Amino acid sequence: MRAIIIGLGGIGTHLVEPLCRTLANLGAGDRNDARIVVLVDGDKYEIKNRERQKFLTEANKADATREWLEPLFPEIKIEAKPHFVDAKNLFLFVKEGDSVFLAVDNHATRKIVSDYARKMQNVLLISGGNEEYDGNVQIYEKVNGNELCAPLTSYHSEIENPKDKNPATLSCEELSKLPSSRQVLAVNFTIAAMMLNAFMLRKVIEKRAEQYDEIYFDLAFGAMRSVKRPPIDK
Amino acid sequence: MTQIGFVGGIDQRKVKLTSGVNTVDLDFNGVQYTVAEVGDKMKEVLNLQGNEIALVNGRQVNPLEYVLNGTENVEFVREAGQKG
Repeated sequence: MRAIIIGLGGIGTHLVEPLCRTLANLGAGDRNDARIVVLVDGDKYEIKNRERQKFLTEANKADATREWLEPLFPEIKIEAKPHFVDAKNLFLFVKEGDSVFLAVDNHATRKIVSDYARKMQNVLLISGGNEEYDGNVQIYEKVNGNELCAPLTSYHSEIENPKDKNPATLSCEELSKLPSSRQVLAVNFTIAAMMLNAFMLRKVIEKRAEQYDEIYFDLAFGAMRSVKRPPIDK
Repeated sequence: MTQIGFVGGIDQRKVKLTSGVNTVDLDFNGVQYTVAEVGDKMKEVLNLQGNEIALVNGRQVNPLEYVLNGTENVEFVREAGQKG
C-alpha cells in the first residue's frame, strides 16, 4: 500500500504520524505487504509556524519529516520528495492504486491533482482545507476506471477556476511574500483527523454504507455535516 | 403577507436548506420562491457568502430562475477551505 502526502504544513504535519501508525499496524506479519509513504513538499519549516506545525528542524518539510518518522516506523519505507507538485512532475510522485492525501494551502494545486486523478484507473484522493474555524474534506475515488464520486472540481468552482497560484510557479521572492492567514491548531488537527477517518472508511474498514464524499465542520459551532457527491453526468 | 418560517407541527411540506454545517427546514406556506430569494432571506442563518453554487435535489440550478415547489432539498455549496 502506498500513501502520498502532498503538503506538510498545518494539516499534513498532524496527519503524517497517525497515518504512519495506521499503516504500520496494517497487515502485521505479512512481509510481502509493502507499506510506503511518500512525503511531497518544496517548502521549509519555519520557526514562526511552530504554534501549529510539528517539526524538529528548520529544513525542507519532506526531508525533515522523513528524518523524524523513519526511526519511529521502521516497517514503513518513507520517501521524501522536496518539490512542489505541478502538472508536469505529478506523475513522478503519484502512481496507480495510490492513496493521495492533499493537504496544501491553495486551490490551484488541488485542481492540478484532481485533474490528474481523473485520468487514473485506481486512486483514492482525500483533500482537506480550512479557514480560521471551519473547513472541509473532499474525497474522490476511482476503481477500475469508474468514478465512485465527483472530482474535487465538480461542485466547487473555486477549485475548478482557482484565483490563487500553485507555489511551483512562484519565485522564492514571491513565495516569501505570500500573505499568511490566521489559522488555529485545533482546526488543522480536526482536518487531519477527518482525512485519516476517510482513509480508514475507504481502505481499512471498508464500511461502504457509511461512506460520504465531502464533510464540513465548524469548530466555532461544534458542528459537522457530511454529504454525498455523486459524479455529475457528462 | 406570508413569511418564511420554521417548520412546526405535522406539516410535511417543507424545504430542507443546507450550507456547510448549517441545516434549516422551512415551511413556505404555499408561497413560491426562487432559490435566489430563499438564499437572500436565509443569508445570515446559513452563513452564506453569496457566491455558492446552488443544488436542488443534488442538481445544479440557476438560482435566479429555479422556483421551489416547497418540498425540495436545497444546498448552497460552501466553498472549500483553502488553507492547510
